Parts: sequence; structure tokens; C-alpha cells
Amino acid sequence: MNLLQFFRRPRVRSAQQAKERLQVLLTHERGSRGLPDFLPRLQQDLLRVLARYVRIDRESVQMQVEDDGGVFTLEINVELPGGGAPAIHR
Amino acid sequence: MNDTVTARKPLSDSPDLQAFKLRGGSFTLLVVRAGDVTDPGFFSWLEGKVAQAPYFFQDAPMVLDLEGMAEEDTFDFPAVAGLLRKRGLVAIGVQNGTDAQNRAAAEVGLGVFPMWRAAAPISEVSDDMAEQADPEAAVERSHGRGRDEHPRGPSRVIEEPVRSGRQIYARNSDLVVLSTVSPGAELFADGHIHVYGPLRGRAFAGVGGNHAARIFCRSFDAELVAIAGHWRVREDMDDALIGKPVQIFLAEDQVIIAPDA
Amino acid sequence: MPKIIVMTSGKGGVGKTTTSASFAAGLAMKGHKTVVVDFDVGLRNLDLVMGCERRVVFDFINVINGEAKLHQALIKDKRLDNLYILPTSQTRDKDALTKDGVARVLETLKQDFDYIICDSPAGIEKGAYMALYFADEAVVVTNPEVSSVRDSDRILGILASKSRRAEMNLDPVREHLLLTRYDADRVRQGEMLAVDDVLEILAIPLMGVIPEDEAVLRASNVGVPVIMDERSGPAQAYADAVGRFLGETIEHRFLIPERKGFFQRLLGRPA
Repeated sequence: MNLLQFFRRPRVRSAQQAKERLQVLLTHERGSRGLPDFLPRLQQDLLRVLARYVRIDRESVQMQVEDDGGVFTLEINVELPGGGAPAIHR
Repeated sequence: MNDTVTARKPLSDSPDLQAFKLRGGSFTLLVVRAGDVTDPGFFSWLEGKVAQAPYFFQDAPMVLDLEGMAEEDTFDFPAVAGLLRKRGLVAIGVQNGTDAQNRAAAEVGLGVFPMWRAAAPISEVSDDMAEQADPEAAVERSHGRGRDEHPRGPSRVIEEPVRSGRQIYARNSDLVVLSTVSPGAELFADGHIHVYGPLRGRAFAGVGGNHAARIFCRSFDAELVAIAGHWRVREDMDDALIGKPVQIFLAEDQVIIAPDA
Repeated sequence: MPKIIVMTSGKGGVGKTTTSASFAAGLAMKGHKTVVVDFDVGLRNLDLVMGCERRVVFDFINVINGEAKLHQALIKDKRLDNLYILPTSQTRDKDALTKDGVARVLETLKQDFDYIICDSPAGIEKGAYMALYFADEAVVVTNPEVSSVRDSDRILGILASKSRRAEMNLDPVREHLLLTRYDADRVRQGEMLAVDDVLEILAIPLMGVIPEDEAVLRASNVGVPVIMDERSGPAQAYADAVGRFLGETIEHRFLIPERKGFFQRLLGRPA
């Protein structure tokens, strides 16, 4: 340790920062659990995966959730392009 | 989930047909495996299942799996369909029927589904998890029980390394692997298995019950080897054989691992 | 009354399998008949850590699918009489775990064992869900590190809402915190969350603190649960944790840096 370091102001310890960040974050997260907010992310993920194999645009993947008297149905429609796309092996 | 493919091109050059589209769809269907649909117990069992999740079954199209009905060549299809309809189910086809059964089903307007898609029974429809086991994998993992068929197809040749977690099954034939088989990988063949790279995973030859099947390998380091359902684990193998060329066969229900000069 | 205990964490790499192996061995050493079940389908590792990978023929998934009997798949530990391992499959995926199938196997195990340890996979997907669903008690394995603490909090939320006990309005799953890879030196320097910080955030009883120690790696290299390397810090800490789990009152150790002797200081490394 050199003299300069010795005279520097004491830093906030990183563990203390970690604790404070966690406290704020978890208070927020505990409140917002269980919301069906995954649809946009699912759509993004699907697009990303499909795009690896076929040329596809955003409108090609449509999804909706229907509440059918207690039964939730997730419907996903994928429209594949007609020609010019690489072959897909099933 | 169902995916829809839209045919962008019209079916013929006639402009009148522009309005029509041919769409292929794949749908998840209920498959009801009936032990015996003429048994009244079947319908009370079915009622119990429907009562567990009435919405799920409401007007649900279903396929009747006739596997358990081998002897009953013809039964009253329209009556059975009517009884199913009363429980809210719409029979649209049959599966695993005999030729006579398939004809009878087709006559009353039911579809005939291919045999090889036999689905695993659904045990708990209210469960939110998909509970479908892969029927092919189940066959592959049956460790030698079942049919006693001898290989007849062309050998299956695998050129690339077989990584951990992969299963390869050569149905009714020999399996030839040119590269490495990693620990945790599994080879199955109704016939012989030949491995030209190091064999570090598991190998099951003669899984259909062929006691004469053998395993040949250039560099032996297997976790487990089995012939027609008889196996030996690594712990029971002679360490002196590790890394050596060997051939493995069955003699009086004992798995023999012999050095191959 | 047999008990099902899940080893869970949310985050990967925090020491669930190490803990499962040592905790199960610890219970067996205390005379309880114990089985440890690998729920990490497709990434089979428990058998390696327990050193019985050369004896696996059938597995948990074979039993669920009716391809093998439970007694064919159970592997008896060679070192401890009361300890058994139920390995998982390397070639299937988590979908092979059906709720019915898992329930059936656990129910059968309950007839023979005092404790059933479920080694959960990382994540909050199906495998982890199946491992925790039937639990009576949960050991939440956490590292003193922000992402691990956050994931543990998430898992505690799932235990409280999605477990069988929660769904059936039974007494809640009993939760225990096990802090692993704890480095008292770095805590003292303010670079690592302290036990008290983690306890304050997660607010569940502390079952033990396992010090960061090379003995853990050494044990997994040779396929022995680290609790059996009796002179090592982690072994003593795991033994203490098992004792506390069984209701003994044991003072926590390894919370303050080891005082180094003159020669160790001189050599600059711990003995």
C-alpha cells in the first residue's frame, strides 16, 4: 500500500452496495410475481429461433391467449415464407 | 400449439381458385386408448376423466386407439361414436386398428391415423405440464425386452462423434460408428454394433432379443455393455481390457468381453 | 415419518450436488437410512460426485417409465451402509419427469427410507419444479453473491406458492439456508456479503455456513462426498449442518477468518 492510497477517502465497501441493491430489487420483484407478462418475450424468442432457419418477419409469428371458461389456451401461428428459404428438416 | 402453412400459390392457374387456400395444420389431439370399448367399464372410466376437467374435454376431437381390441374385428362404430359424443368427445378417427377395423371405421366416416404415432397415455389432463414421453425412446430404452426379431435392414453408419446424452438406435439392423462414443452416449442395435473410435459410452446390441448379436470395438472403454438384455457395468470389467480392441458376446447368458487380437 | 428434502437454489454452480452428496452421507453417518435422487435429467452428475458412476445400469427415468424396478436402479453406497443413490438419465430430458411418475417413485422410497434427498437441477423449469414439488423440507443453497441471493429468493417464492404443500394448504415447506463458498477473509474486507446480510434479506433459518475450500474440488475429483474428508473445514461444516437439521444445537463456525500461525504467515498460505 502506498501513501496516496492510505490518504484516499475510504470507499463504500462493495458488499454493502450488494446488500442495498438486493434489498431494493427484491422488494420490487416480490410484488410483481406471477403476472402473465411473458408473451412479448416469448414472441421475441420464437422469432430469434425461427430466423436461424428461415427468412421471417415480425408479422409472421402471431400469438394470443384465450381464457376459455377456466382453460387458458395459448395459440401460436407461424406463417412460413413460400419460396427462397432454406429447406427445413423435420 | 399449431402451426399453419399458407400455400401462397393457387392450386391451379385458374383465377377462380384464388380465393381458396390449402392450409396444412398440425393439432394436438386426444388419443384415448381403449382396452375394450365394448366394456361398460370403459365409459365409466372415461366419465371420471371428463369430470376431472370438463372444459378440457368439451367438444374435444379425439382419436380412438384400438390397440387393445385386436380380437374384436368389427364392433358398432356409430354406437361407440355416439356414446363418446354423449361424454362431450368427438371421435374423428382411429389408430392401431386391424385392417378390418380400419375399413369399418372408414365406412362410417372416421379417419385412419398412422400406427407409428401412438402417443403415451395422458394420465393427468389437469396438469399444466406436458406429460408425453417419447414412444420411440421408450422402445429404445427397453433394454432388450420384447420382440425377438433378427436384423434385416441395411446397417446404419454414423460418421460423426456420438456425444454425451445422444441415443442412436439401429432398428432391425447393425450399427457402425466410425468415430468416438462419449461417456453418457448410448448405442442400440437389434443387430451387431461396431465402433471404430474409442467406445466410452454404453452399447446395447441385440436389443430385440437376438442372443447372437455382438459388439466389436477398436478401443474399449465402455461404461456398460449389453447383449440381448444381459449387461455388464464398468465395475465388473477387467481393467486390463481398457483401451484394447475387444469383442463382446453372450455365452450361457454371460456377457463375455474377449480381447480381439 | 419419512421426509422428503429438496436441495435447491435457482442458480447453477452454487454447490447443490456437492451439498446433496454430503448432506445425504451425513444423515447416513448418523444412522438414518437415506437415499439421494438426481433430478437433473440429461446432466447426470450426482453419481460422479458420489463415485458410483461405474455401477449405473438403470436410472430414475427407467423406473418412472416402468422399464426397470426401483431396486434395480438404486445403488448402494460402498462406504456407508445406510446410503443409497438413485441416478438419473443422461439421454433424456426433463419432460421425462411426470408428476405421477415422480410421486409413485417417491411414495415407494418412503416405505424404505427415513430421508429422501432430491438434488434439484438449476433453474426454475420443469426439473426444478418436480424436485421441489413433493418436498417436506427445503435446503436453499446460496452463495454470498447478489445473483445467487436473488435466485434463492425466487425459489423461496416458488416453494411458498407452487409446492404440493402450498397447493394442498398443508403446513408450509420447512426452509433452511445453507450458505456455501463462504470466504470469511473477503467478508471481513467488505468484498463479500456477510452471513447476517444474506439472513436479513432471505429471512429463513440458517442451517450452516460452508467455507470456500479446495477440499470440495479435491473430493469431487475422487468421487467422495466432501463430508467424508473429515479433517477439512467443509466436512466439519456439513456435519454441523446435518446436526442442526436433526435438532442439535451447534455453534456456527467458519464465520471469522482463521487465525494464522506464525509459520503459516511466514509461508503466506494456510496449512
